[in-house]
Amino acid sequence: MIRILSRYAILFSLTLLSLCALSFSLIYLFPAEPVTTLTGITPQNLMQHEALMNQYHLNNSIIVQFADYLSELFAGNWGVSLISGQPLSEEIMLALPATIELSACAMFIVIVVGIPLGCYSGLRAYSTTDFTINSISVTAYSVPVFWLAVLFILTFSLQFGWLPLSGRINLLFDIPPKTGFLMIDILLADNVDRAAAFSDALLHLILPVLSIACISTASMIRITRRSIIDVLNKPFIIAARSKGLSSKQIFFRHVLRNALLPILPLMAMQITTLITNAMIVETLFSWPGIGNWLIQAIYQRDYSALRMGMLAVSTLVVMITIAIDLFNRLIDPSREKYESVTI
Amino acid sequence: MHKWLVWPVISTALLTLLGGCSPQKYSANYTNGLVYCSESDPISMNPQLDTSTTTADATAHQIYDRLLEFDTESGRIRPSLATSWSVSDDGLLYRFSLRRDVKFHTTDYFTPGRPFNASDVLFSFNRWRLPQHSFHNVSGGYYPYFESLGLADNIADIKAVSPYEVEISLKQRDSSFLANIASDFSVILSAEYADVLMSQGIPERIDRLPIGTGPYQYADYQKNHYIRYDVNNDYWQGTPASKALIFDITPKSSLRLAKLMTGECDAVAFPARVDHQIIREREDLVLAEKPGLNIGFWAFNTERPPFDNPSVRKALAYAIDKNTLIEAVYFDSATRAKSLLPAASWAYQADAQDTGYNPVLARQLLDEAGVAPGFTMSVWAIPVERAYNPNAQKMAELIQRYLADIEVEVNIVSYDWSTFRRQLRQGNHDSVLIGWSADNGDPDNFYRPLLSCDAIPSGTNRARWCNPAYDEILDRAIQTEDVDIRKALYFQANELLFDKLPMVPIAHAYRYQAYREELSGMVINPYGGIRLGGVTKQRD
Amino acid sequence: MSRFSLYDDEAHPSPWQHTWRAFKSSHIALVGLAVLLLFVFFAFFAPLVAPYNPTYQNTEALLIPPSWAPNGSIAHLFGTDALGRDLFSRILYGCRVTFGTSLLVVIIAMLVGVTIGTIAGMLSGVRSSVVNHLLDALMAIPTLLIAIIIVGILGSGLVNSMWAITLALIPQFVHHTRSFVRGEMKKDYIQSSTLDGASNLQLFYYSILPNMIEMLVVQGTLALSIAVIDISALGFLNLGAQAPLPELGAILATGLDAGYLAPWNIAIPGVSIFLMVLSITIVGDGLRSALRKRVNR
Repeated sequence: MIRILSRYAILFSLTLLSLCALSFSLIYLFPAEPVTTLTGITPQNLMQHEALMNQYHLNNSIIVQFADYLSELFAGNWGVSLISGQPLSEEIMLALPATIELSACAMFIVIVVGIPLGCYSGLRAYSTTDFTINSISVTAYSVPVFWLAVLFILTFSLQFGWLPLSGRINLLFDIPPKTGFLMIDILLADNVDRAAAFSDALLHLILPVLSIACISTASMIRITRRSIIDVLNKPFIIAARSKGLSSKQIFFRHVLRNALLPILPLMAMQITTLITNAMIVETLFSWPGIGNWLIQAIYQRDYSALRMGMLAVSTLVVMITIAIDLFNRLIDPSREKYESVTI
Repeated sequence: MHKWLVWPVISTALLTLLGGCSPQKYSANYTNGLVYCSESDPISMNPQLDTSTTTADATAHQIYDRLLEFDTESGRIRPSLATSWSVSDDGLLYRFSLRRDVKFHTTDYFTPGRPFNASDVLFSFNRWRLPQHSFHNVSGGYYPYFESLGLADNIADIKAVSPYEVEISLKQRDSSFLANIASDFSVILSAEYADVLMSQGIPERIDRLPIGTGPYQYADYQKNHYIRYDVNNDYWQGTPASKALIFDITPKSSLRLAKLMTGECDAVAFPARVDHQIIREREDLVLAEKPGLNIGFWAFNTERPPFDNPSVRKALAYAIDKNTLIEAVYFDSATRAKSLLPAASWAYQADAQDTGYNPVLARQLLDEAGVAPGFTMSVWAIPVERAYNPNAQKMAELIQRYLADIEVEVNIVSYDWSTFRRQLRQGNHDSVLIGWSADNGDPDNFYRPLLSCDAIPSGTNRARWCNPAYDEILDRAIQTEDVDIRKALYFQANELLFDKLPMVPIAHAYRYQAYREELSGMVINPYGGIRLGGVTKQRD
Repeated sequence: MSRFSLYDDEAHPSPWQHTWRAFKSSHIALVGLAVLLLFVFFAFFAPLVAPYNPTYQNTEALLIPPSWAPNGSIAHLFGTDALGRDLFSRILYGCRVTFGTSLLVVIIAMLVGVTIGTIAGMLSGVRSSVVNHLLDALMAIPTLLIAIIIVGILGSGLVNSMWAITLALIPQFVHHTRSFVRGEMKKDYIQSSTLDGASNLQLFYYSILPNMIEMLVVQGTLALSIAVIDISALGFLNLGAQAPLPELGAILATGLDAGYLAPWNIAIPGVSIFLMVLSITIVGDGLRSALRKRVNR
């Protein structure tokens, strides 16, 4: 147990280190002055340039520069944005929770709807019900997420007028962003009608979450269904049935656990796709998350923001993936965990 | 045994529940406030520092007041912070009587100790007038509107005769002086606030955390996201009806329209031409229309060869079909521009000369000027909508096609709005599709900031054209109050401009405002930025 | 008299024919294949089929509805967009760009991925474990992020977005190839070839590769559907194909501006992308079940 934990800790640190190295290399890869990409300040004259170079040790060897870069990162000194001049740590710490909120809600729906439907479909494999669910999920899986979001906006916001289409909450609610997680901030805010704010935030949440969740749920249904079918064909299920166990007992005691296990590593990939979709959908719904922020940054060629944003998002994703991997490793007694899963 | 009952019971229960409540329309009227969707970030919170409509919209009539105002109905000048004024016979001495008991904003970063008086007027004017003023170079030292007019050179002195009387003496007569005092940019700042900031060593804050006397006061600003205003409870014209004002910054016009339709915006800036029909057809939206005092044009950078040659410029003008451009970009909401002034101005020349569509002549002129086929030039197109040009990108693509017909290749260049204007000021362009909206009713407000020599350093002269004869005509025109003499002089200027053609006038557009029908008090401001202080929202 | 069968013949279909028969038995898969072949046809022959030049702006014909609407005309089958460009021609060229680049991306990613994966699979020990873990971490980085970084370094454009998606797809191929090769290396027929004296390269080319092709085809269709969605997403965000290059995602993005007035500018490109991905997914599914049936028989 300790061995596994320590192994994963080392893996995490190594991956984080390579991500930092990648982000560091961007300083030289981006088509701007290294000083500008590192700090976000454009030196106005030669003197300022020299001063900044010395301050950030850019005249020394690569190793020293990298070490210095790492220490600045841990100190929280992430530089400022080229365009807005605001400290990047503030901007990222405001934007990241918005995306996390969106992705978490979508993931919740994916698990709560996708897995049961997938099990239901898998248990009745090749029947009409299964065929219907499978067709719907194949269709939903093939829809491009940005088109789905646009269709939702056209239908539910513009045609029917039921749901709002921009932002996290109506701007007339003055909720000071303390944590960045809107639900918590509403609780912490005073002088505000909390019930109205909650329902408004919820209404704003529905369409973006639905756009993302549809596609990922479809994917989850397919994966779960395939996994259930594979498990059902295994000999030990036949053995259980011949022992006299009822269908329900077989399902909950044997099928479910063995089917869910191979899904976990695939869930990590699903999360990556989910976050990508969330980033795309954010631009359509003006959701102030890290995806929208990064895309605005690339439009305006804000190199320091890109460098830092890339590090932040990839760190988040890597953390989640490694956590799932660790969880999988801890609960799965067998070692063969990659080989046996297909869609 | 009764397991099969479970599903029918659950589904009937769900259906009755859903059937009972039908989805409500999304209604944003939780709090008493106004949401205005604007198209871009303001450069600063002080309109003195910028000529862009965006900055003026956000601040000029929301946060600040001026000595004089334009009446929105008649276009005449009426009192604001100055209750009355008088002009001496020789036109060189102006005296203003100031309003009493006008309070500045009380915010969490400043509490005023005294009401508005003459020292605030002096501070606001001297800041841009006197290069040695302690605040002149704060936030850049760049006051484009005043610099393009050369106002600082013409003002001999400003003095406070008493705490509520100010005298301004000019060096030469200027019949457009009062109009310039009433424009968006001549805002009154708080001298007390400036002193406090200077003593704390943070003077630039005056333009970022502003203090004025207007109906709304600054609360918060998130770049590219929103500006939040609180109501000014001490406003001298009476507290505004809406207790909160939000500028929701939404660069895409289709998104602004969508938010207007769902009610997430109460009013929008610059509704796109393609959307006008939709807005008119919907009962819950209002499209207000008024002939605008503006001009959209194609300016050549006359400092760069071969655009320093008037026949090259003329050739390019003959190469495009203005009517097609107007139809495709403005649809039917603009009139063709022959000269700088639109028909709404009293100095309009109906029979001004104009270039036609003649590609053969264009190619001939280019050959004569030595411009070979295959010549490449850049056309810069503004990335935002403006009344004077709702879709410069589209116009640039059409021009690209026309010029391709005479074997001139065009690169279309665009950046985000603030970067674009910065680059433009440095003169990096070959030609630019941009325009001008009047700040006051005086024709000088068109001729001078667009093409006079003084306007080159301030950046409003996009053609970077300097012609002393032209400047002389303009100076003579503001020496007199006689309308006919001024008209004749401006006709002369039109002839000169047609001969040299530093820019091709394209269209005079109508001004539009789109808002929800619950709003009342929305008026189209003939000159300048939007006024939201008098707007109320009916709530049912 | 011995009954010899003159007319009966013993047919031993090859594995591919087996797969094809199993594939054929599913009608849906056949329909999917037909649609997919239609897109392939468009990808190659769009310039011959399209009635207009996709970048030609006809200012007389702005925002004409499609031919089935009351105001539409047959001259413009799918109508026109806000600049007067014929939508049908744009869609055809857009299919060509989107599908063509996706195909190219998948082929390159496959070649590179398989090479790296095979090398990683044939070597064993600490080296492959490190590569394994690093690649898993790399697989975790969202495609959009890689695309943004590459656009930041190289600038926007179709070619640069292709690099981004290729980079994003390679780890998948590496992963599957590696595990497959690792599994195969343990099998007896490989060991017998090794005992015969085959070198690694010969092992790969003659023994492993023929068995790997099915897995590659399946992974390839999966990667193709991902590539199509990603390329159109990047085109939609204006990070990929730049105007006036017609690409389905970019066409959808320009259609958004006049979206409420002219919904066909949004609907039709979206449906094209949807059908493209759907047909690829259906064909992929059909192939997978056909292979499964063949193996399980």
